[in-house]
Amino acid sequence: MKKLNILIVEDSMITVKKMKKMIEDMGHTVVGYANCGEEAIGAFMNLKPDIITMDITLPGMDGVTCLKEIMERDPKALVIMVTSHGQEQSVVESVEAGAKGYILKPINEDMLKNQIEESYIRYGEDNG
Amino acid sequence: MENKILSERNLTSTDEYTVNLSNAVANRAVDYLLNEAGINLINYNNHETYMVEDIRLDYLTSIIAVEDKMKFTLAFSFEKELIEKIFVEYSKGIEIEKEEVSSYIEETAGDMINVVMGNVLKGFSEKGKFIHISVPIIVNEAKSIYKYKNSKFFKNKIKTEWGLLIIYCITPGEKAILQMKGKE
Repeated sequence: MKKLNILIVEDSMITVKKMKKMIEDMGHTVVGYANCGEEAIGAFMNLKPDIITMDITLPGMDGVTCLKEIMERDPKALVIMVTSHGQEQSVVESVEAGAKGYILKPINEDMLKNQIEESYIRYGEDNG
Repeated sequence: MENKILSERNLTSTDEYTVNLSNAVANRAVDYLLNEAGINLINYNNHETYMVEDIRLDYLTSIIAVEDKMKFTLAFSFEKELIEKIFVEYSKGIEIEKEEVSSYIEETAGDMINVVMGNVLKGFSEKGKFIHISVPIIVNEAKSIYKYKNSKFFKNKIKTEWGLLIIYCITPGEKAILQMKGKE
């Protein structure tokens, strides 16, 4: 597995730190994080990560809207939604808008690894 | 086992929904404390939701507003030792600077209510319907709030080896957060 560059979009810094540690333990790199949708779009355009993990509940622009904005700019963007919610409708809309998977909170390292790596293998630049 | 509150009062369908939701939230919170934070309970009586006249916020309280079939506000009020212990467990393995600790304790309380509520709503929401959940807000002082107009307060108490977690579900949801923050 190629070492992936990952952007975390999440408004809780403690969750960012936890996810960063998990991702680095997997051998990948966290190239940046954003704590709101507006910041995430700028970070995506600047950093061009291989994968974005996107929290659904964000202050201001929510994660689903942010996903749509990113997909408009780059239809090949690989975004995985992160939600604590049984917000099935948000997940359905996210997948329809181009999200490649979702992770339920509380985040489990194995689950995160599977989603990141399977999404990249299936939809990443070599296969997408 | 019948809900204690149901045997004592005539409840509207909205009240019944709230009681069932409150019980589910309390059960999931217990599960979270045991499995995510390794915290044992001293006393937790399943299906025991009370309707109360006032709310007493403790050391730190996380609050979210939810709009599903109805609007309501949910609050988790933690005793100091309990939220500090949850934070210690939640932040295991990551480096946190001394000056960051208090804000990360607040985030821990916000993350917990978000995860618990989100997980519970999976079983409560209507298929195909959007659920709106606010980002958590934190009130970090003890204070009392009294009922006003048509609001109703539902309370669950979870006693752990590290202190109390009190869960409040407030209906209707409008204005409850502002009221708790002391803006009205």
